[in-house]
Amino acid sequence: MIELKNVSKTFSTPSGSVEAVRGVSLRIQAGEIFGIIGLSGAGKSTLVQCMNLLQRPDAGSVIVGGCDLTAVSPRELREKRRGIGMIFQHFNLMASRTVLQNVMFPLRGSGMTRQQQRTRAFELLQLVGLPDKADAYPSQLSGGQKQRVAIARALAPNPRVLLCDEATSALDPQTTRSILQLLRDLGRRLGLTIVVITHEMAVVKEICGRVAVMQSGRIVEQGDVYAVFSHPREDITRELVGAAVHLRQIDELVHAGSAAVTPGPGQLLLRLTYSADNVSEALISTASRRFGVDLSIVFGSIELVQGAPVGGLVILAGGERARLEQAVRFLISKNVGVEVVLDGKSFAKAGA
Amino acid sequence: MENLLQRLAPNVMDKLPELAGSCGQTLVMLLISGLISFVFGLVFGVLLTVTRRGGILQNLPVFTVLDKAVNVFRSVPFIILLFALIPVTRAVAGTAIGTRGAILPLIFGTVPFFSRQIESALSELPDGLIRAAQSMGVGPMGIITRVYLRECIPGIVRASTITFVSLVGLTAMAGAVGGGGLGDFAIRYGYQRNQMDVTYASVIILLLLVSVIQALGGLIIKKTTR
Repeated sequence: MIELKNVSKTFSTPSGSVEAVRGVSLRIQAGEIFGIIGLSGAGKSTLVQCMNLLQRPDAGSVIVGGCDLTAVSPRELREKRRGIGMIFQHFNLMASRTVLQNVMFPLRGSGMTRQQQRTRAFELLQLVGLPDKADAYPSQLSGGQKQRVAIARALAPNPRVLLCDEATSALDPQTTRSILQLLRDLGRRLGLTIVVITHEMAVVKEICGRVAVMQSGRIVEQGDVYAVFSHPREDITRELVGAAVHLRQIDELVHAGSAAVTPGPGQLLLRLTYSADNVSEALISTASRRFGVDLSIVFGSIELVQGAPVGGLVILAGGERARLEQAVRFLISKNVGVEVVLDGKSFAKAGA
Repeated sequence: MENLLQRLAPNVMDKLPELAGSCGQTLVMLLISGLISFVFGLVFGVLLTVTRRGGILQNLPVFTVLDKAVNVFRSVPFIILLFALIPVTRAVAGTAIGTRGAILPLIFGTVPFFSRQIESALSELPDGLIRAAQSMGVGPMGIITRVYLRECIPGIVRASTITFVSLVGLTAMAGAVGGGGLGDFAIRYGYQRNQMDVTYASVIILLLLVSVIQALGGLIIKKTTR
């Protein structure tokens, strides 16, 4: 549905030029929800604005629905944009218009009569759950409601694609969740292709099927959300995933020398990372019983991504050193990633 | 009542018909030059906004010329502009004197100021609204009329009120080319013949005029701000 070929965009600023997007190629399938994640300044917002040519790339082509947008006339481009809805972090509703008039805004000049436009706008307000707010002004709405109106407005011309540029970044977690649910519902119901730009892995985890990780204007990693979550390859991805899975917090505790994570003599502080299929087994108690070691859970974080668990545990393991090593080997044989964070014997960091 | 007025303002009561005529002249100058200035100021203000760097119709030559022209006309004191423009006024209006001759200079004195005011009112519009409209396939003309002008109505009304009030001040100088009006009336009788009651009467009428403009502007702003 959307194909970017070698797209680059450089901005010249008084302090020099900034390469916001560098040679990005990407294919987004029809009907999927595709996430683009990165820290601020990674170029993801510029990239999504290249998809409807709000930013014209310096090089490369942008093909949406089989049409190369970089090659068409301004008039045709405007026509094509009606097929690509967009929502924004700050909603960008027209303050002087009512909710209904906002949703009708993109319908002007679409060949519909005023009455048809009203009917269509009402339908959309129903779809986003705000039929009773038709005559309210945006200033009377909450953030979540404003984003719902923005979604209704973006969908009014019946687009095939919806671009979401940090659409939930100004919302609280609960509202974020409800907006994401709405997007997922609408995507499924209307067969939309949705592109979600975000800096929050939680957003990607919630609705995306595939994800691309952006850093310094490049896509450094992409794939199935589950694969990227459970086996991040790049440091930046680990960082972003860590933010969602919380397991990395242990490093901060260790760094701060917290008593809760300081192994006693002979103990090991281990980080176990789970993937796909082994969480359901009673690995901890099995290991404990079979090798006669004490395993106590310090901290754990396991989340469901696309219905499969991702995450792990931090445990303090105590007992005879030889038996401890056997237990670790057993866990590794069960596909658990094992990492020795601290060794109570030497207090030196080690990897297993 | 009439006796009281006769005692308080004998000179004014002497020339009531002339006072009424002066009020009429002031209103004519205000309305005609105000209306024309509004249209031109709006056009130039919009042009300044959309042709600047990063604007939706970026065109630096147009922007630069307009920007400089506004600065030049704004820096000339109105009383000098009034005389400097005499040849142009004569060519356009057919005469350079009287109320008719004062209107063109009034427009030249007002439009640059108003253009700047409009430019600043339009610059208040969040960029995001422009981007949103563009993402919906709205063209430059649509963005100007449906986003800039529509969303900035309160700011435009505020700018118009300020400009109109300052235009009232400018009309007082129109007397220099025989334009008449309340200012001229006050200068000729109140100042030159030392009839203070005429000065005060003129001031009170001008004050009322300004108050009405201000109140009207405030009302519209209140009605249009959401």
